[in-house]
Amino acid sequence: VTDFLNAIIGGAGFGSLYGLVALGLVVVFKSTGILNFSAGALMAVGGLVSASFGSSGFWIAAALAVAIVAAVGALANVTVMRPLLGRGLFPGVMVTIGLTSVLEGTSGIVFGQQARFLVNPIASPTITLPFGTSMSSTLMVAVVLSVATTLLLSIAFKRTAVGLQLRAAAVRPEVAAMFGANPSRIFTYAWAVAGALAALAGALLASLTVADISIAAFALRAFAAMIVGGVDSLGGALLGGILVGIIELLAGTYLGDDYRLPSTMAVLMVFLLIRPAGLFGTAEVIRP
Amino acid sequence: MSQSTGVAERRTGMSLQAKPIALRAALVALATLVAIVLPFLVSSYWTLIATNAVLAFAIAAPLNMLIGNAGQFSLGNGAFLAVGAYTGAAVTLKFDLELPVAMLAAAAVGAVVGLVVGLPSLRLRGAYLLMSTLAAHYIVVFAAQKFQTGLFGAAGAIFPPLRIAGTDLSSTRSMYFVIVVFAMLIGLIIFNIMRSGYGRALEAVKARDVAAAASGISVSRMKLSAWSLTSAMIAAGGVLQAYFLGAAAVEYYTLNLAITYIAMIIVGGLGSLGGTFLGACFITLVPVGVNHLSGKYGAEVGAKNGGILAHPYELQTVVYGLIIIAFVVLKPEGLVGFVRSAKSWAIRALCGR
Repeated sequence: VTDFLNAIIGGAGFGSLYGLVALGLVVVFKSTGILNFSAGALMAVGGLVSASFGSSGFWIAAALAVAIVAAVGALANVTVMRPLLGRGLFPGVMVTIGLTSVLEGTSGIVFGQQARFLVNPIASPTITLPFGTSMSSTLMVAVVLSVATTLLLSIAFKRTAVGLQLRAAAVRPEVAAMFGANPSRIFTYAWAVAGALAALAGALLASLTVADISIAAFALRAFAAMIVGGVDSLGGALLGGILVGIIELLAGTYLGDDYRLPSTMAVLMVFLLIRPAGLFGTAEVIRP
Repeated sequence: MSQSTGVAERRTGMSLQAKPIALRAALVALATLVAIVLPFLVSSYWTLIATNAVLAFAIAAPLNMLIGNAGQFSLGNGAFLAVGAYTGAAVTLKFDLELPVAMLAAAAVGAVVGLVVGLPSLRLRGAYLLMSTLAAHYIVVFAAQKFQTGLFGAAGAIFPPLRIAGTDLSSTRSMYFVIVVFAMLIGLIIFNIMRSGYGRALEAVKARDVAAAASGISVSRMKLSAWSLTSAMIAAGGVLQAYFLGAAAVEYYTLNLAITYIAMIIVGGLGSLGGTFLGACFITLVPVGVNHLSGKYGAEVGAKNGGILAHPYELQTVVYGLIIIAFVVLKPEGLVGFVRSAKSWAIRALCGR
């Protein structure tokens, strides 16, 4: 029972990291229609940047990483994503894949190949919970931060002018532009948000494991999280991430560690086939 | 007067029609000649690189048919290579059969797996279909890993030297010729498929599936057969690739491997066989070029001020990414677009128009 509860608690913790990255995916996909394959690289760069500022403590390092990677995301939109608007799925995916390669190579040149480490956000490494379970304090911080971020983003989407413009520009950029929104600036904000969320996840992951370009592979689960939650739902992305994380750790505990990634991919496949709209998303209507 | 220009126009029109066929035949003859003579002219190092490029073409060409002609965006080709390699390994090592049998078996298994991986394409499209191929990639590679540890041990399947009908073909040069023959076969098959009614039906399904269905084309049959056919060809290529590499190890079949072949068809030109060849050569030569550059100048420059040339691997990664981005953003029709505009320019110059 303790194993089971530990898997669920740990899974929820890691899952909230997937949820953070998935939030970024949802924001970009919702607004620009681009499926962002560079989320993992952005996350890894966030981890590396925060680790290189590690001497000033977790929180300052994470904040710097968030700011820097948000700028990288915005820059990516301005330089290479903007010309792709309205050209369909294939070009967007390929350019984000190219961007991943550029980010990986550049970070290798800037940060070198050796793995770096980041201090924990809270001094005590683990927190003891009832029924003999325990949780890493960093994972606890991850859950709290991701829930707070999701709430903040949902409020921003529903209540602020930029959020409303973003939702309008996502549906019909031309009409939104007629009503005074500037779609290309709005989309830059979306990319900055995606970069910031990925960097936050990256900093937390760097403090949990190591900061290394290879942690980019973690972000693959974010695709599963995005589909399970529903591609147009922010809360769904977070809950989807947590669900995927729990399933992954349960598979890891009971089937073996090599089942972790395949289990999340199996979940992705099952949802795509049975319920592509996800748990909280609205079904896509295709008019031929 | 006006009559004679009419005749002249008709004649140039006819010669313009006749020219591409003659030109194409001449090009194919020239390419065959170059392919035969090449390994006798260059060192074995460059023969190896040429082998890599030709093999890459043989694998990327079916993928281009699936993505460029049939419009099914897939990240699953790495998985199909693995399916081919492990089927080939089982046939070769457990039943002691030779390459042609192994390739036929791999093609058969590849066709079945391709059919299954293609099934979601009946319900999903766009980003959803892409993600289903992403999931399929990891599930198939995981199954391959279980198969590998069960049958061959954790290190992977080590292939014997290539033999066909008792003749040893494992030298660099004979390996090159085997792969060239296979690539030509694949090219010929795809060329003929795309010229047939079936190929035009595929293009129709890509352009507008509803209109294709209204014209009496069974959209789901076209999609599934395209998945099955191209996967069979990729899997057959996977056997040859494993022979060329000397082993089938699951670590090789990554998502990045799958992306390499997509990069080739992007750089070369979507839906174009000649473009696939250009793209395969280009992407194969990029790391070679960066390495040479780095080897030539990196040592002295890098030692002095730690320039980027001292990081050949990272530089390769950056250049590779920039190439993909540059082609998608600036030249979506790929290298074959340059060839086409050069050709129309040449025709215009020759005809004095």
